[in-house]
Amino acid sequence: MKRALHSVAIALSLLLLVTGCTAGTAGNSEPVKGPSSETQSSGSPKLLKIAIGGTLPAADPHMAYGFPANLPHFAMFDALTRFTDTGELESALATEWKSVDPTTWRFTLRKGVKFHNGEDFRANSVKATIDRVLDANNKLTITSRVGNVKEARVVDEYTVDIITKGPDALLPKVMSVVLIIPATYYSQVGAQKFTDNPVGTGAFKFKELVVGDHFSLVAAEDSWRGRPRVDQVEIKIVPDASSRSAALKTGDVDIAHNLPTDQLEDLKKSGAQVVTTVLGRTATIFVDPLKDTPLKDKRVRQAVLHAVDTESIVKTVMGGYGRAAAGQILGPDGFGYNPNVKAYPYDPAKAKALLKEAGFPNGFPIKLETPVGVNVNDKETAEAVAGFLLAVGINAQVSPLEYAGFLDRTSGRNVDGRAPLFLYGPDYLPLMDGDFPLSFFASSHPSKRYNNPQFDKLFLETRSTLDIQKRKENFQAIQAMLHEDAVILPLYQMPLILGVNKNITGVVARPDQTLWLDKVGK
Amino acid sequence: MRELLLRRLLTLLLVVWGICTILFLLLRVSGDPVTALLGADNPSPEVEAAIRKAYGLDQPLHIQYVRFLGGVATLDFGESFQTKKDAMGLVLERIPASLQLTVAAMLFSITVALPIGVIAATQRRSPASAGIMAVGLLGQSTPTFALGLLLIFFLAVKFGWFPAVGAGSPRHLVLPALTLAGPLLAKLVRLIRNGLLEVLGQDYIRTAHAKGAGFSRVIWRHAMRNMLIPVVTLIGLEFSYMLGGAVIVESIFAWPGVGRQLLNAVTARDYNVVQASVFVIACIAVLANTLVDVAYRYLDPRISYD
Repeated sequence: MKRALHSVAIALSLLLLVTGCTAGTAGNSEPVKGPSSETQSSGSPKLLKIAIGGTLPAADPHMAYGFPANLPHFAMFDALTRFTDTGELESALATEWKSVDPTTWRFTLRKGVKFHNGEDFRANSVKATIDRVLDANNKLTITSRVGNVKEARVVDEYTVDIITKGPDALLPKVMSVVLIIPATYYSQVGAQKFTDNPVGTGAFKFKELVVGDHFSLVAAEDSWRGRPRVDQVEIKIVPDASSRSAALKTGDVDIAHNLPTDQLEDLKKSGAQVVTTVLGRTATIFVDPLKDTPLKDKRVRQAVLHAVDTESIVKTVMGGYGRAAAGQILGPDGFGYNPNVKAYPYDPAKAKALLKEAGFPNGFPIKLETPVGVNVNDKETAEAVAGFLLAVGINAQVSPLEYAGFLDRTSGRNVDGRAPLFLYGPDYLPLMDGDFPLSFFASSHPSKRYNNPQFDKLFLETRSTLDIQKRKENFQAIQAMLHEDAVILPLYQMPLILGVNKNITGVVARPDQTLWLDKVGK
Repeated sequence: MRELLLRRLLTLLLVVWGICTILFLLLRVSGDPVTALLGADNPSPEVEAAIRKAYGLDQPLHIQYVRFLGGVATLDFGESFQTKKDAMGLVLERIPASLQLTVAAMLFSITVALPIGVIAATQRRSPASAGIMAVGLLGQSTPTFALGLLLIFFLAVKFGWFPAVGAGSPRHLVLPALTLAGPLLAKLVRLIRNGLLEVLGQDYIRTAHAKGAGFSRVIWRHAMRNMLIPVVTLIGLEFSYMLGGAVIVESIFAWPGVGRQLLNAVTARDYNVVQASVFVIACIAVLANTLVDVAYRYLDPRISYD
């Protein structure tokens, strides 16, 4: 008996020995190191730690797109243009731009900018970047984002022309996501070495990347953007949202990105700040008018729209975060927003009356597909919608989609297999423009959701005119069409929630889902 | 012994080949890596076609398979679609972290389970034994994520003894290892207790007692070896499972292991990383089970493999 207790004691000391002896080699495997730099000499360097979900596959700015990749990439690189915190386009590496003929945009470049390795920024780097990005053999994610660009031409050292395939009013905005790489350095080292040791013009320099674990940056001393307020940044991948919250509370990180709504009260009590915004992404139920279901009848679709109380969903499912949609996909922060369109009023009695009139007094069964875990509370939102529909007699079956199936639905594969109701948050970020989300309703879109020649005409005009006012009017008109035809049930603009340690300043959550680190201070 | 090892090598090759082939087919049936690479939008068909061609995905299936097998023979699994880095290299980078976690969890489980199992067996009717069995049942029934989050909440957030997430120091290893060890510990305790109970009733134990052997000599010299076979089997099985399957622990603690890497690769349809990952885990699994078979021979010399 005593021996057994002794054994327990030995076991526990062995455990301590094991944990002590396994020197922390985990997490230090083969990091890719960039050129090191000296930090501030006064005191210890200010290190900003951010916890995010998702993956950071590469330090190369063209190999990934959108959040979270844009977090380190926008810190290390610049584009010709960029968006302000309030959604206006401003100059970055280009100081002005204008359309010189229907398919040519001329950009005047900023003077006095150097890359981190000392190379001067000139028009040749813009051309080299565009050439690289347009070549599909490079297998870059960003290639499909610049579909309308034909080529770039150097006019002189500080002027470059971007030639488009057709008139493209969006081109200056599209350029905001094409990050510029140094022509000479890239041609010397090649793609493989460039991704291991990237060089840009941004406020931060690359330090190291351990794929799947963390991405480290260090402040650049001579960037045209000015010196950032912190010296080093470490972006940690923490897949689980509760763990991100916990890491913020223990002080392991300073900023926790994308937290679920149910943990925020607790966080606020522990003294952290909650910084939030609504994104350029509206959770929307797509109501299919073309398939052979009861939804073919417009009255039935109107019943669906009247049956759901979007304000209540924002309050209960989203905890009050997010912004209820005004009967259209674009929010007030999107180009093409129609201030005269309002959400269908919540009126279950009217919904039932419409159903009866259309010949469905007892409702009908129908399938509602939803992705799971792609956006905050997506499945819960679908379930809430199904609940409202059930109350008027429409028996909506919520069918969860795994990520592959979800991609099929959005890209238009397997049109026959999909359900008549589909929850999706089509982006109008980062360009904050109606082009992408409304393209789903053009009859030429492979997913075949809507067929309205009038819609097609007005939509195509937005893609072929350079007249900003006309684009806006057309977008407003086609959004009104979708509203009138009741083919969408826009629910809410999705919230973005950041947990921030109380001694951190300068954190701004933006609708385009970028987080700029220049002004963040500790 | 040499025959055994040779036969095992053959089995290893056969098993790994079978797994790789099934995986190869499953991956190509499950969906398209190019759409996953380009994102949820509608990429232009030319770009899609060009990328597909660059990765050889437009070739007929049997040609892709032959190229794949050729690569496997030289341990070249191609490049990761997402990061463009060597797929096998990426997997090998993460293996040490997974091994560290698995070994730590195993050592903890075994060293704690043995004495506790002994107590539970020898103090059969005492409250201590009942308590141990109850805690064991709890440990086996508690979901991993619940255990992990509870440990984070109490030991990291409330008391601040350990960091909540990450890797890089011995302190970072404790909470994830404890979480991973929990279910195995519970299973081992029950197995050891039941095995011992059965063995302790045997005649030769009574003989040993009669010959004057002390308690500890009876347990460790006579009883243990006779009941260790199921325990060693469990350890061998669990080792492979914990190595590749610790996804939940790795996600909660942001531990940079192969489980999470494999899951991300599957979601992103990064075929080459999935294939490299499964290959490595399968090899280690077969190795572990071979060691278990070798251990049998030492535990029970009566076992032979003719």
